Amino acid sequence: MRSAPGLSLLAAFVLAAASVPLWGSGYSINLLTQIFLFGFLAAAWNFMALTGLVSLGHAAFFGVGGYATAWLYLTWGADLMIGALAGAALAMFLAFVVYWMAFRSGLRGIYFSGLTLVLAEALRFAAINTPALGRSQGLELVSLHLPPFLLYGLSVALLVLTVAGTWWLLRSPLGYRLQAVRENEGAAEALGVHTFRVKLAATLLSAGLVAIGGALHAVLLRFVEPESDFGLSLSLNLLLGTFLGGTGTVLGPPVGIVVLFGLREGIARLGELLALGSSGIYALQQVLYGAVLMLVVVALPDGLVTQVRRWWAASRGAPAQAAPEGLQGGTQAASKAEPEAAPAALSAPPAPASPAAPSRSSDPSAAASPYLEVVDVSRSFRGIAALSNVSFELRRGEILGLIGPNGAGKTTMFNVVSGIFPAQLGEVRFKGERLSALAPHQVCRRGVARTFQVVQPFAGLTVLENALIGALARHARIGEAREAALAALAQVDLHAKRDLTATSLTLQDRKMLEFARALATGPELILLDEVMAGLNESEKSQIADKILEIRDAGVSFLLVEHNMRAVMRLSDRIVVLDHGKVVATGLPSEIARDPGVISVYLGRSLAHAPVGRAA
Amino acid sequence: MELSPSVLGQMLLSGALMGSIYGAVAMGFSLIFGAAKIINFAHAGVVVWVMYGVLVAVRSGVVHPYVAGLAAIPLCYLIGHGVQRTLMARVSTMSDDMQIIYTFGLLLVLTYTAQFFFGPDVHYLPTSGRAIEFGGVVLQIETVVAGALALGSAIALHAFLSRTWLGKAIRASADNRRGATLIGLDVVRLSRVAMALSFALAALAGTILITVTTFYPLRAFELAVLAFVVVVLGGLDNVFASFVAGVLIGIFEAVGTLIFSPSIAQLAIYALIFAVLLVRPQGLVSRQGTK
Repeated sequence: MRSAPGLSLLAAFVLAAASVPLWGSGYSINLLTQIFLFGFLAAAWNFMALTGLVSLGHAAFFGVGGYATAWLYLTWGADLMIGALAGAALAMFLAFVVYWMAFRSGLRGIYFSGLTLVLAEALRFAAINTPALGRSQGLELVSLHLPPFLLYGLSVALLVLTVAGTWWLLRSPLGYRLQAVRENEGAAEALGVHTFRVKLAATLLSAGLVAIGGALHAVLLRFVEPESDFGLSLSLNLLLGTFLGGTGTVLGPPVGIVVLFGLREGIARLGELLALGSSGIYALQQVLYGAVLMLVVVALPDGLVTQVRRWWAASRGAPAQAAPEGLQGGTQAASKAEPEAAPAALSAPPAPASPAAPSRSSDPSAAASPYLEVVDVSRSFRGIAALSNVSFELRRGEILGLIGPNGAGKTTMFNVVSGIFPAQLGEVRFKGERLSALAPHQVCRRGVARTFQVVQPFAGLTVLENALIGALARHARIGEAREAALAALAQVDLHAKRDLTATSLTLQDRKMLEFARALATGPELILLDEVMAGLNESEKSQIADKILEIRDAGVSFLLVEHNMRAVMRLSDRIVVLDHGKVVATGLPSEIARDPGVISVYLGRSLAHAPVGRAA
Repeated sequence: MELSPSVLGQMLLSGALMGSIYGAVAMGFSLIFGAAKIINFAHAGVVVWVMYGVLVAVRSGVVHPYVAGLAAIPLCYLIGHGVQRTLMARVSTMSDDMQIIYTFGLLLVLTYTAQFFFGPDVHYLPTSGRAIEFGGVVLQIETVVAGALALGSAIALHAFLSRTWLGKAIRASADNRRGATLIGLDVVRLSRVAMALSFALAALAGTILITVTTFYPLRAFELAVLAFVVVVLGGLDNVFASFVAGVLIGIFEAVGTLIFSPSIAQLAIYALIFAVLLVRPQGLVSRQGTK
């Protein structure tokens, strides 16, 4: 959905929907209200699915919205609108408490879904057993007098707003961060995304909207009841609609709901013909829903909308892209939105921006003072010391090599510096500020970026979007972030490949993409974890040239590398780790002659390794 | 009701017996997760279908539900084998989330086909009315037999998994699928055996469940949640721990019912699961640590 056709599509939909009361029967208005309402609900469910979390318990929020509205109306005579808003607030509070705890303890997969399932079941049970909520009979909203078409109009408005909101969200900084979390939470965190807050924002939004939908549903049916409001069927139907249409897409959830309602009505007609009775018809509908759910998982895991888009692209001879609709649309919109910026950037890549601190040139004396300080850091895992009393420092503008045999603690050291594991003893300081108590995204935002030994691209996103997520650490506005991302891609020569999906890159390019994402965060220090592993000699020397070039632009490096030739060539100084201890520190030439270091490497002589940088 | 020792004993014992039946339901769910890394929420649907099968058999003249159960167990074993060859063949390669969604789809199909054929009404089998009594504790004979059968099956399954070659092979293939393949185990065949066993356990659980409780199609949803709850409490892939957790839940429920009310007991169980999920997702009973 591109911006201009998307808008006209929405306008056409609103006009068509507005005309229905002129010619539609009461039955069709009622049916359409339900379709639009459920389309809205599925789109709201989708907000949560954007983070890659699957909720089996959104009925909890739906029910809270419905019950709050009904109870407030019946007990206090509260306005229905107030009731719905109160329900939404309550649902968001509930979601906040539950998800806050769930995200803190890092639940994923079955444990997370199970938690949501248990939440809805617990509320259903509570409703059944609370006399004030009418126990299993529920509450009936008698003597309601509503203007005609009010609910219909509301359902249209909510659906349109949510769909447009999804479209907008996918192009906003929050949307990109959500997609980063979905694709790879660890990498997102390392690139400065406050994953906890992002997930919480998406789930709260989702819970609040679903509660409003629950309120509307309660008013539409004029009752709330435990099974239909808190039951598993409701949660599963929302999930089914979203999956059928396409999770994470703009139009998928409402499209899926429309298809489901089509099936539902078809079965109802068939059931009437066969005189099955309402219970039999309902059972058949649910059987069909279950079968469709299984079919979608096996045959259409990306949903109808994405699949149709692919067929469409294939029939027009365009290369089929693996990216889901929203993301693909994102790049199209991006290149549409800036017709002059993109070609200009293509013909002349932007000059490598100097991402380093502005203070650097104004303060020449700083070069001598410590920049990154690692002081007596210890870290053990279940009693096995991975690091013990490690101390070293890195000066501004320096490339410091961190070497040692396998298991020496190099990657653990990286993880401590970048905030993935806290140091148990000692501390890490950067420019005098303690890093050791910070989360990875905070470390990143203080100017220390990292790459991973095993490349972790955001697989479903394009190269540009990958870098963009890094750039969002420094730039709040999407336009500025895109500029910074393009500049970072230009620095590592990935500029021409910016619209490819990350998965289609070669290993070398993926390594470069890791590098570009780190650069896009505007770092002063980059931790490179074995960036050369798995590459051939010419690729290695290309990366080495890049590192030197970027260093000359003012970025310091901490380098873990197994390739001795590269370490000797690149590093200004080297720290040698063995069994979690520092065994030597010094210039490359000193290290190569150090008998202790040679014995660490089982006597392998480093004397013939080329010494000194080929600067 | 006074909280005398005999009342307490009554509650503890009947709670433990009921809990061991919960354990029987959960064991099959846990077995297939432990053996083939398949999260099968449809397991509860199989249990409910067995209950309807037994009901039909008893109504059409089979002497006793256990006789029907004796036929159901081997039959379900074969069905489970077939299901793992067909419907579930690709499930173990899916992500967690896709497995959950897929098997919930199957659960919907099973639950509502039952509702389609048998209606939403509540069914139950008449009880014999006989009870055994010792030390002031009165227990219905069906409950005692059901609990004993559940305990027996848990012990048998545990022995099978820890003592026999086939059981060890199943555990090995669950622990490390690739490693098991490398040492020559046929993991596909092993996962079929595990699914077949899990279905046989569902048959056993359905048979003993029908002798002690009422049931209706949507019972499948409740049993699915129950199985999940029990298994989380025990540790997801530990079969015997699931059984123990089932017993604990039964006791917890009985004591909560005695002191407060059934609904508060149920809510307390949900609260307990919340706490366990958040604090110790590897389960209370399982000794396995987090990695």
